Order: sequence, then structure tokens, then C-alpha cells
Amino acid sequence: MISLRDVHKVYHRGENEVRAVQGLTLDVPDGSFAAVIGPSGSGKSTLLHLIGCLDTPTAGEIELDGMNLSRLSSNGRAELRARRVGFVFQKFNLLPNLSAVENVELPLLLAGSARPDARRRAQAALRQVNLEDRMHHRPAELSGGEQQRVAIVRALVNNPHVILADEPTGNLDTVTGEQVIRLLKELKGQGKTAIVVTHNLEIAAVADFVVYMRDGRRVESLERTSQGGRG
Amino acid sequence: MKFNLAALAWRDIQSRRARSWLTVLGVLIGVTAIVALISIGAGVENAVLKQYADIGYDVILLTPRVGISRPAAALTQESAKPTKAVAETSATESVDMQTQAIDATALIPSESVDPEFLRARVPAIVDVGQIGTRVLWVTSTDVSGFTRVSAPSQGFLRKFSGLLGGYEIVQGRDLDPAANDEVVLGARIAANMGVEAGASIKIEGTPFTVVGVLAPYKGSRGAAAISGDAGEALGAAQTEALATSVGGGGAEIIRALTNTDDAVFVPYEQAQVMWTNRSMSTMVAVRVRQGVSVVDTVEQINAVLNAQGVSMTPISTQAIADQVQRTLGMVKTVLASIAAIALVVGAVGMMNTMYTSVLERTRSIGILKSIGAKDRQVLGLFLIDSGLMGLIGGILGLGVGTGLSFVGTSLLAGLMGVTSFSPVFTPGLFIGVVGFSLLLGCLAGAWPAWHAARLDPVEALAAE
Repeated sequence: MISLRDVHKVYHRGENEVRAVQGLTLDVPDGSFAAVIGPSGSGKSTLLHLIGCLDTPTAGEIELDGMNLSRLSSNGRAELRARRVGFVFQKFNLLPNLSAVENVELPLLLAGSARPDARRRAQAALRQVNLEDRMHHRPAELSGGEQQRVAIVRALVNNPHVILADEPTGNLDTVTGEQVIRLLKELKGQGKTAIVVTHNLEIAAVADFVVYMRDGRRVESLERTSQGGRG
Repeated sequence: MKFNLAALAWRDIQSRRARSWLTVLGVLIGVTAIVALISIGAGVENAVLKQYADIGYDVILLTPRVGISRPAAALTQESAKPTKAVAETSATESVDMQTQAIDATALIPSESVDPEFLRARVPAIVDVGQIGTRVLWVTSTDVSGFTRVSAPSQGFLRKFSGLLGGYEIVQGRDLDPAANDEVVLGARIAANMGVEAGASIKIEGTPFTVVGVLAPYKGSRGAAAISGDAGEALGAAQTEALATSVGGGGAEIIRALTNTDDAVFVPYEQAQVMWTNRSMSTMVAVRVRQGVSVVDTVEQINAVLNAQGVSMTPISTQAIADQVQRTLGMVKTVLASIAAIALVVGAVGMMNTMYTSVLERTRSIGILKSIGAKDRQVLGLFLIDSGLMGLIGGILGLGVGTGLSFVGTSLLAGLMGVTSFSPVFTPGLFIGVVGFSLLLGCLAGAWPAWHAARLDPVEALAAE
């Protein structure tokens, strides 16, 4: 279960104060697939960063599996990112100097796996998304769809409990976007909790519930299944 | 930690290959300079100290205490060379020059001590010898001019020939102490005067027979060395240091001793008879009995000299060697400091590279953090990155510096006209230089690495 209680996030840009998230309260049950939609600057990405421990709330509390994230140290947050959370970004965010398989094995190595084991698991994961012929290519040598598939495999390879995806089809054409959507749909069957920030209605259509955000606030939730969120 | 930071750091270094190599080059140059200067400096020190070791640390030199008011030109090698130009000067001019030289040498103090008297008073002394020196007007058939006339006693030649660099007869024979008309010539003066063994020359108008010619001294250019192979490494600077450390008239005598190529040798015993009315600058050399303190013996000699009112200063070769070592140590420190500045400049270059790298890789740092890299792992990544560049620069610099040392000593040896001079490398130098380069690399990368580790992951991911 992911729980947010009256979460605020304020950024200071020089003399300006940006209230990215304002008093957000949200519960995302285990194994559910949530889509977060809203206009640019509505606080969708900030919400993902807060849940994924990339950022800390200015006020309020966030719990992941009963663990209060606000009380974690820097190392504790890194540990959580390494073991419990997988990120998928719009810009793929693969390390340019590493090959596909090296990118995928990196989270395993950071989490403490031995190199041979990490390499074996990374290769197996890439085969599952039909990238066995591309695993030794660097990101620059891969297409956008291939890069995003590598990024999704990297997010999943450590078998994290939570997948956080920030507009994963935003940089992809329709065909490759559909491939990525298929991969995300499969997550539902694997019992993982997924929160996807998207403008893609197709992704929103497969979500268990959709959260609409505007100006850092949740303005509406639509529950599509019996596992839906509460408002 | 299973995560191999070094492998990832190596990838990063390779990804910016040109800049990495330029950064490594900065360290390489600094390390090369340090290795070359230290090893060459150590080589010079070793050679000089070996020279004193060969002479023996049990030798004490007694030199006139009062300095010479010398006409510098008359005592330099170049002016001491008899030349045809001088030979062509008019008789009047020659007489004037002779008068000038006699006046100059007349200032040399006449105080000296009878070596045998000294040996009788100081039981610790086992060997004694003395050598006098004067600058006199020398004439051959074609050439005339001023040159240095050295007068070693038989005791000196037997027991202290090591002090005379290159005293090796290659033509004719050695001096007969009983003969009063024999000379041995240094190689260069013999060549300049165009004479060989058997020829006649005149000193102050008195005829002498050249009975022998010395081998050219290998180290002779500007200033020659004191003794043998070890002395070959002794350049002008060391000779000067040695001369200075002896001080006063002793300095002149040491210069005279180390200039066998341009010297005319006559037996001391005959010189005393020939030039009774003119002063010779005399140095006495004594050797201390084995196991007896040289320092104590110096004090005893001093006491005897003072009691006799003899104006001479005893100084041991050990004291001279210590002084030379101190001087060389200072020179080495200054040179190493200059080289260290080059290394620091290299380190600043590395810091610049690392900081630029952090800026360029900000997004990658954000990615690493998003997939679970801890701050200390990011810190370690950049420290290893810069440390690796420092290490590579250090190892390559060590190699290049070693090569440069041999080239440098070869060039220096050529300039100094010596052969047996080689750089000295110690395990401490190797380990120290490589370790220091690694440390310097880490230090140069410390601030950029800290900056990288502290980056906010969200801001880092937002970087373009």
C-alpha cells in the first residue's frame, strides 16, 4: 500500500515559491495500476518523485508498505530506490556509456548482486522483450522503442514492488508506444503496484483508477475496478 | 560491495578519451619532472660522495687560513693557458706580466707546518704529504704564458695521489725527487705548448726537462675532479662547493689540485730549494689512524697549529663531504619543489576536468541515483575516476621520467665531459611517486566528487 497524507511540496526558484503539490492525500493499494493525468505543471511528476524517494515532501507523510519515507536517511532512500522501486522515464534515461545489458544489470549490482548473476538475469530479462540481438549495443545505437524497452527491463529487473513511470510513451511513435503499453499491461498480471503519469488515454483506459491533478491538487479520481482508490 | 565502481569509472574515462589523456598528460609532465630531477640529483650526490669515500673519510686537509688576494684572471684556467698570442707579446710586456704574477703570488701566506713535526705531535696521524702551488711564467720554444705549477711531495704522491685527479703518466716517466730540473706536464698544457717527453721548457727563465706527460683527465672541462672514476662526476659546481667549503687559500689549492690538465708538476723538495725567496701556497694532507676519531684529531691538530702560531685550518674530508651534501640537498629540494609545482598545475587541470565531467554527467548522476546509487557510491565513482587518471599519469610519468633521467645524465655527462654518471632510482621514489600521483588524483577529484554526490537527483535528472 502506498499512502500519502496531506503531502505538500514547495520549491524555491530564487525569490519565487512553486507549490508543486498541495495537500495531496492518496492511497494506492498493492497490485493496483494507477494512472495520473493532468496538464503540465500540475505536480504529476513531483508526485512520482516523492513516492519513489527521489525527493522529500515539504510537509505531510508518505508511507510505502508501512514505512514512513519522510524519516528515511539519504542512504535509506537510495536503498529503497534500489530494491523496492523501479523508475521508467519519458526520456528513457539510460547511461550512454553502457550497453543495454550493462544498463540493465546496473540496478542489480547496486543492490548487491554478484556480477555473473547480474549479467545472467539482465540477459534473460532483455530476451523477454526480444532485445537479445541488441543487448550489447549502446543507447545511441538503439531506436526509441528499444531504448524504452531497455529502460522498462531495467526498472523491473530487480523485481521491485512498485513501478513508477513518467510519461513512458511520451517520446515514442504510436507503434512503439503500443509495445510499451503492452509491457505495462503485463505488470497488472504480475501483482506489482504501478503508478503511471501519462497523457495517453490508452494507458489511462487500462488503469484500475485514474487520478486527475491540477495545480498540485487532486481534483478528481475515477475508479474503474473494485480495487479503485479513494478520495 | 559487488558494484564495480572502478569498471564504471574506467568506462567514463574512455568515453572522454581525448580530455582524459590531456589530463593524464598534465600529471605525467609533473611526475616526469620530479622523477628526472630527483634521480639525477641523487646520481650527482652519489657520485660526489663516492669521490670523498674513495679519497677516504680519514683524510684531513690543512690549508692556509688567510685568503689570497688573487688577480682572478691569473688563476683561471683560460688565462693560465699559454697561448701563441701571449708568446707574441713584446719582451717588455712579458716582464710586466711576470712582475704582476709574482706580486699576486707573493700575497699567499707563507705559514705552513712541517708534516713530520705534526706527525710527531699528533700520534693519530699515520700518513702525511704536502703540495705547493704557484702561478709562474712558463716558456717553450714556441709558446709562453702563465700557468699553475704544482709541487707535490713524495709523501703526497705516494699516499694522497687520490687527491690529484688524473695523475697518470702516459708518456715518459714520473718525477725523480732528487733531480732539480725535471717537470711532468698535464695533457692539455703539453699539447698547447707543443712539447713531449724529452723536450725542454723554462720556468721563470730556468730550464727544465719534460720527463713525463699525464693522461688527459676525462672530467676536465672548466673544472676537473679530485680523484679517479668517482671524480669524473664532479662538475664545476661540485668543485666550487668543495673549494668554498675549504675556504680561503685552501680553495685556491683545491682548484690547483683539480686542474692537472693545465698544470706543470715539479717535486716539492726541489720547489722548496728553487723558490726559497718566494712563497708557495701549501696544503698539507694527513691520514688518521684507523679507529681514531677524525673530529678529535682535527682538534688536536688545531691545538698544535695554534701553539706553533701556524696560520692553517684543518678540515676533514668528512666535513667537506657533509658541506657538499648539504649544498646538494638544498639544490635537490629547490629542483624538486619546482617539479612539484608542475605536478600541482597538473592536479589543477585534473580538478578542472573532473568538475567539467561532473557538469557534463549531471544527468547520468541523476540516473544512477534513481536506480539506487548511494551518495558514497557516486562519490567513490568520481574519486576512482580522478584517482585512476592520477595513477595512470604517475605510472606513465615514472616511465618517461626514468627514460629522461638517462637521457639527461647522458647530456649532462657530455656537457661535463664525464662518463661514469648515472641517475639513482630507489623503490621509495617509485612507490612514492606513484602513490603521490594516486593521492593527488583523488584530492583533485575530491571536491567535484563531493559536488556530484550531493546533487539532488530530481535536479540532476532535469539537466540537459
